[in-house]
Amino acid sequence: MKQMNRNAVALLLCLFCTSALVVLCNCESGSATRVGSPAPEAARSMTKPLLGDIPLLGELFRAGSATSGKHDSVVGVPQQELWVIAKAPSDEQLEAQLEQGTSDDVPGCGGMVCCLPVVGEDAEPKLVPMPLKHTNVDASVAGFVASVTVTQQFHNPYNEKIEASYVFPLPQNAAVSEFIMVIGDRRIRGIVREREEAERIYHQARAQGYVASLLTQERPNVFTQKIANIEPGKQIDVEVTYYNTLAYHDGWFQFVFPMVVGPRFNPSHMTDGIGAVARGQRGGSGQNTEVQYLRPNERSGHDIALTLNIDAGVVIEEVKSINHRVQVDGVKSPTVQVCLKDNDTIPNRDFVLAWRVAGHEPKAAVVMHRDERGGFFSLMVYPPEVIQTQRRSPIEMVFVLDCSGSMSGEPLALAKRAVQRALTQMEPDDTFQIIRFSERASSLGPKPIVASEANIQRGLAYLASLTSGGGTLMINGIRAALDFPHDERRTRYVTFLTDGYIGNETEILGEVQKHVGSARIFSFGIGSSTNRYLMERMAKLGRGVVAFIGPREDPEPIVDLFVERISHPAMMDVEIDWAGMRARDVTPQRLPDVFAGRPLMLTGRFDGDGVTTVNIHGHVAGEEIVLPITVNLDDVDTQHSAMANVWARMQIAQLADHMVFDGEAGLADRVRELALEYGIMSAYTAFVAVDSSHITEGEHGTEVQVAVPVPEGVRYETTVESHSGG
Amino acid sequence: MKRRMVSICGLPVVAAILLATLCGQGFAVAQTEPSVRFDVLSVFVETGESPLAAWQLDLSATVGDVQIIGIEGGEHPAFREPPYYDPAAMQQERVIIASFSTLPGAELPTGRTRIATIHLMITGDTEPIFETHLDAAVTSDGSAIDVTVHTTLGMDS
Repeated sequence: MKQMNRNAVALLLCLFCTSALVVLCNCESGSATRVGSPAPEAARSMTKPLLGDIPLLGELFRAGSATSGKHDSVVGVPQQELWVIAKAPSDEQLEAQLEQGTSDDVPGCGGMVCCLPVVGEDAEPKLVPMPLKHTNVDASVAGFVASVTVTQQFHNPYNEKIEASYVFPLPQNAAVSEFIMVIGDRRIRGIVREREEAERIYHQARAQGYVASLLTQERPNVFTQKIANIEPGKQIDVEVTYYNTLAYHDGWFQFVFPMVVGPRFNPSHMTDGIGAVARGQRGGSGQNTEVQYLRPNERSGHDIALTLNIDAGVVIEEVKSINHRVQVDGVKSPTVQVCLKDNDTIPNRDFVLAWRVAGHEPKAAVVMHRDERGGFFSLMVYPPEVIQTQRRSPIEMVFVLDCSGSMSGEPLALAKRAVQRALTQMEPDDTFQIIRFSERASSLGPKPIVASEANIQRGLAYLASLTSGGGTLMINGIRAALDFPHDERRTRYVTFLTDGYIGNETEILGEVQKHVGSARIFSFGIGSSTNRYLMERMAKLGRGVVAFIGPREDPEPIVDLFVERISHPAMMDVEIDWAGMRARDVTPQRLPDVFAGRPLMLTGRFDGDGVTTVNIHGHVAGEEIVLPITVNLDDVDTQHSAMANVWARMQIAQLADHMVFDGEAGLADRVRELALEYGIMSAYTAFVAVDSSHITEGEHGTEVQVAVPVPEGVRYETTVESHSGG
Repeated sequence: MKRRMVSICGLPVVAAILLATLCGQGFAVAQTEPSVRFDVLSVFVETGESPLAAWQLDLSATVGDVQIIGIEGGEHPAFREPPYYDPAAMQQERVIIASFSTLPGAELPTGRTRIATIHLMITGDTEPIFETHLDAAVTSDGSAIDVTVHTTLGMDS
């Protein structure tokens, strides 16, 4: 009893102290630095040996993984931690810190309240020490499947231990399959676990002083990497390997590696968005996931190197890099090596490489893999030539321009040029409308406008008058466009032009699904680091296609391809007779229209064998057509053993769609099971690795988030500085 | 007025009793919360004269509450890379790991060698007991080798 009373008193004291700290935090406008350790948590009981005979040795190359799905709101919530509250320093103190070099660049200085002196635009950028020193990307492409290993080199430039945290992008269809933590010459393979369990292991290891790393997924294309207990002067590398299928359109394959997450706008009701704050302003966005951005006068030493080896199987005729200067070796041969040039290593825009192969476009291309789990495949069906010979019927075109703050300057100018080009190519029987949105939406007129010469001039004048500013309440733009009075005699094409810098993707996609009806959605990603996940999902929901216009590109040829695409009827009502292939679990479940220049990409499992003919049925301008494709199922290319993980990744994406649109119960469990079975990332799984052979000394140290540059062409002052993304 | 004062004065007492009870319970829970510690399990094989080119091992803890939190390779250059694991088996805290080397026979390990280090989180005070089963051990020409497996907690051999 005495013991209980002592305990009660002790806990009461703790409670009162906690309350006092909370009050202090609320009243003092002080900075809070998380330095404590979580209390021990009850770990899950396990270790139930199950015997079985799973031949792994023969499957060593069967790496795999996938991502996607609903995002959780777990990360960043302090649990049972000690918060040390520091009062913000006075201006005099801050000046003194800056003079002594002990400003917010150094952990343990109360760095959450940073304030840098204002400097002129011409001043030399201030070099800010960051725990992420270098990123190395080693990619290879075989056919239309990429295998990419990303090595992030973290180090501790400070004089006390730190926990590094880095929010970074990967392609939205990346099946993240391998995770290795490298300490010196030791390499520890991470384990994929349920997310909560992985987080619990990580926090226990961090609290006890072990070097540990944790990789979580915040969005299908946004991830968080955490490394605990990096000792002063030490380096810890993390290798992440993923697989994905590549896009192909208009005769070109495309490899994309995103390098930075753009500053996103989150509606006021959200807390599970992706926040954008200035370096050192942790927690300022109110979002569970937050990206810190370097100020315009700051640079970190973080740079990037990228090597891409392409094995096309046929001669590669031409290679072009969209946003970077590259060294290309081997053009006019089947294998090409591409490297980033040394003077173009700032990770502030997507790396986009396109290549064109020799010869006529084939009817289809297939990649397969078969193991004890069965067969897996990706099938790319090229559009039938008949499409090119037909002309379209009159259309109704709705252009929707994002005019929020993040589009100010070059991005809006690019979007305007794209719409201008498309407007001038409309035919007199077509109709059009222009809608702009930021925090609210407005349009050129209340109903579709006939594309007469005079009306097009009106449209161009309206377009020229548009300016940018404010947040990105895209939901208003979606509603304005999709609920707009429809001309039933024409096929409606809704074209969104945006950078996609929003944190409420799920809400937006749900709204698109609800309102899309018979309209086709074409999305144009504008800028150097657009939210490709959002753009692609919108186009998919709208049975349309996506295109991207970067700041270094001429938008006119891209728009011309778009106009050319919609100048021909699509192959609609697509159905597939799999015949002896016996395909199942195919994604996408709802087959899209097939447009000129854009192939149909299918991923699934198969049970058949031998040679079979798959028939693709559809209608082009009312005429039924059939595309027969011969597939040899025994010609399994073992070099594409990643197919199983690519399939799992696509299944997870599809399940995530169902969760958003249908709210079906149990889908989260299915995603979790699938991700664990195939050993890949998802919203519900995470990779964790701990070096339990060695305890580092002292407290686990201050968390230091890696601050990143705003994407090229994006204005810091209209996005991060406004604290509202936009 | 007096009644109100009494009730107000009584509040802290009631609150304290309530909190004390709750806290007592809370602490009772905390006291029974199992401890968590971290350790490594070294996996050795004894191959005799035969050079080891590939192996596959099935490992689980028959006693103790153990979670695998990392897999590291062995000490010999041929098996320095961290072994691959079967993710499906891992969900039952049973690990099936495998590795191979394409080095020529003369450069492969013989005798006793550490082939893997398994990083563990152990919950509770029970000392874990591990069970291993070697599914395969072969030379570079694919011949099976008769090997013995030995595991030990900690990095020491």
